[in-house]
Amino acid sequence: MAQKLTASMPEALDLAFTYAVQFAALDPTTGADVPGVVISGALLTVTQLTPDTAPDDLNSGFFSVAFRGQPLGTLNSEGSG
Amino acid sequence: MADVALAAKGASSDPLTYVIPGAQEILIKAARASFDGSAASGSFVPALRILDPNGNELAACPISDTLTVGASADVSWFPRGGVSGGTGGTGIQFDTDNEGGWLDITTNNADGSGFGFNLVDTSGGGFKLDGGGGGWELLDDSTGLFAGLTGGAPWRVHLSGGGQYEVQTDGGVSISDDDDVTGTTLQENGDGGMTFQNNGAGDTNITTAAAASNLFLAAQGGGTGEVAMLGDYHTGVPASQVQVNKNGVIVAANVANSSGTNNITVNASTASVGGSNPGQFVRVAPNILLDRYVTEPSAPSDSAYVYCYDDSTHVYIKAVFANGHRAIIAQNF
Repeated sequence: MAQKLTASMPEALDLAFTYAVQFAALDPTTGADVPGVVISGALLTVTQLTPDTAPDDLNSGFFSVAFRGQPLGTLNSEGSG
Repeated sequence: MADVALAAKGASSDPLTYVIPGAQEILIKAARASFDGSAASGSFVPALRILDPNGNELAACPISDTLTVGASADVSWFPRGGVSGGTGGTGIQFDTDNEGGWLDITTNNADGSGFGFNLVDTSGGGFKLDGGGGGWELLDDSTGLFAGLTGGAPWRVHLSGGGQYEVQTDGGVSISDDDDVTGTTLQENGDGGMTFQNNGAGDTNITTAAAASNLFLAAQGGGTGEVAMLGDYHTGVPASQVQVNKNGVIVAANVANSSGTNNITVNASTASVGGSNPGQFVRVAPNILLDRYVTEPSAPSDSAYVYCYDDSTHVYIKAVFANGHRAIIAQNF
């Protein structure tokens, strides 16, 4: 059974295009990638800072938009999204 | 701004990378992924990395645990996230207010100084533990919080910086010792003196409750010691004693001994009632209550005393000396 672990990440981590977020399994001694570790179920919760008229523009590589929340105060005008 | 969840389909045995697409700018709020180490080539640490456009690592956010080959973990990252998991939680971090439901801390080993639990403040800002009105309880089952100190692991509040220890309550202070061996000691080793002060309307009682127990008030300093009992003092236990062991002065407004075997004595070798050492005396004022005898009492072996003698015709105040001689001090007619 998988352990449930939590870790800290920087707050207000603002990233522009061509920057990357990477999930990796690191060697505890060298910091190198450890082969054979299968990574799945990756999920990023982000705030889209660019105009969000086309959130699907965030689709990239393995990742695609799975859920889009509603901007505060616009739920009635935009419907369920 | 709306929050968007970006999910990766499927799985990868290589680092799983999300590249922010062109013309997009995002603020990462949280991340999670599952790591299956069944086929791992060695121990590993799940991490979240931030890479610049050239692939250089800007930041790495590893978990604090190392997973062995075969281990699996579901890992969550978020600001102020815990450094390790088990059942999750937000952990304790510095320079921020940590607040949560409850916190149990159990230690299983002593540190290099011998402490199982050691809280130290070196900032100079002080140390505050606030029970919030729910009460305080410090327990020690003989080897605990202050174990390792000299004297058989005592509890100790030690202010080595010359500070003052103050106990302030709105409900009174009770110091109780249930042990029959070690007793209770209040000891002042400095020259600052010791004061027992009652500013309220209630009585001050120093009581020896056991039969034949003694109450010792001992002034043992190099100067002229003084034990002053300015109010009523009652020793109600047979054979109990009030002793001033050195250079003592007793000033008593009313000393009531309920048993004839009670004593008030001055034991210092250099001090005696009426002796040659000026300034050392026993003063009983304003009233002297003498025991009433209806037959002449026997003479003391090595001293003298004053007594009241009632022969049913007259009442005398007499003195009897060690040689058996008697003197009438006063007589009614």
